Amino acid sequence: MFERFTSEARVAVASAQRIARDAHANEIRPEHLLAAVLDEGSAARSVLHAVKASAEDVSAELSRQRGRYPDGLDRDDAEALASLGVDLDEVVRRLEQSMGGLGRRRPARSSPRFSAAAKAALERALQEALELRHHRIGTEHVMLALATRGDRIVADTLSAAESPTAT
Amino acid sequence: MTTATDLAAAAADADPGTGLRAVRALRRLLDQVEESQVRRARELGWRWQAIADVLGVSRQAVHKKHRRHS
Repeated sequence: MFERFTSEARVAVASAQRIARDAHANEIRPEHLLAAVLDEGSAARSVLHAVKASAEDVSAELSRQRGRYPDGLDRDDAEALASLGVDLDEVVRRLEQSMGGLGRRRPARSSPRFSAAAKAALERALQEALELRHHRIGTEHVMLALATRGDRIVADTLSAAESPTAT
Repeated sequence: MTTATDLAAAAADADPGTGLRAVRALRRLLDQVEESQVRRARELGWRWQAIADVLGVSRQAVHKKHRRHS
């Protein structure tokens, strides 16, 4: 599906793979795609400027959101666990106290694959381009796709960056 | 409004989607807690057999799964 991607978008996709691998993540998730388009995508950053958000602020918020829970878990998981009476924030706090956190030291996989949500976001990017009658899929389309089809970390990051006062 | 919110929360808890998501979350959490605890035990000089005994699995199983992490 990458043959219609702009060179910038291809670089961003490769960068998402590297970001996920460096984080020792189990798979490449929308959060890694967002980090990559913020780093590599001038077209994606211009979409943010259009809504008066700065890439730096979004990046900082994304790092904060990504660091909150262990790899592959987000606020949706925290809420699901709360239904069992498990307080994920407390679990994370205690693990940090007793063993300095959970960070993996080696990659879970040598080359992480795209998660279902990341694939859906990339497919949505193609739709965004088609709807705008653009022939190539650029990082701006990936950005738009993430805004509607991202995961919880992406959604929380973008909504916090949109309205910095209402965390 | 509180009542509506409570009802929504109660409905969500009865939703199998929430329960299944909790299972997925526990599994991911378990994997990472196990990896970290085994690594810590190894760093503290625990033998594979001792770790396996506490985990209730064979020494081969724990060694195969965690050797590369520690």
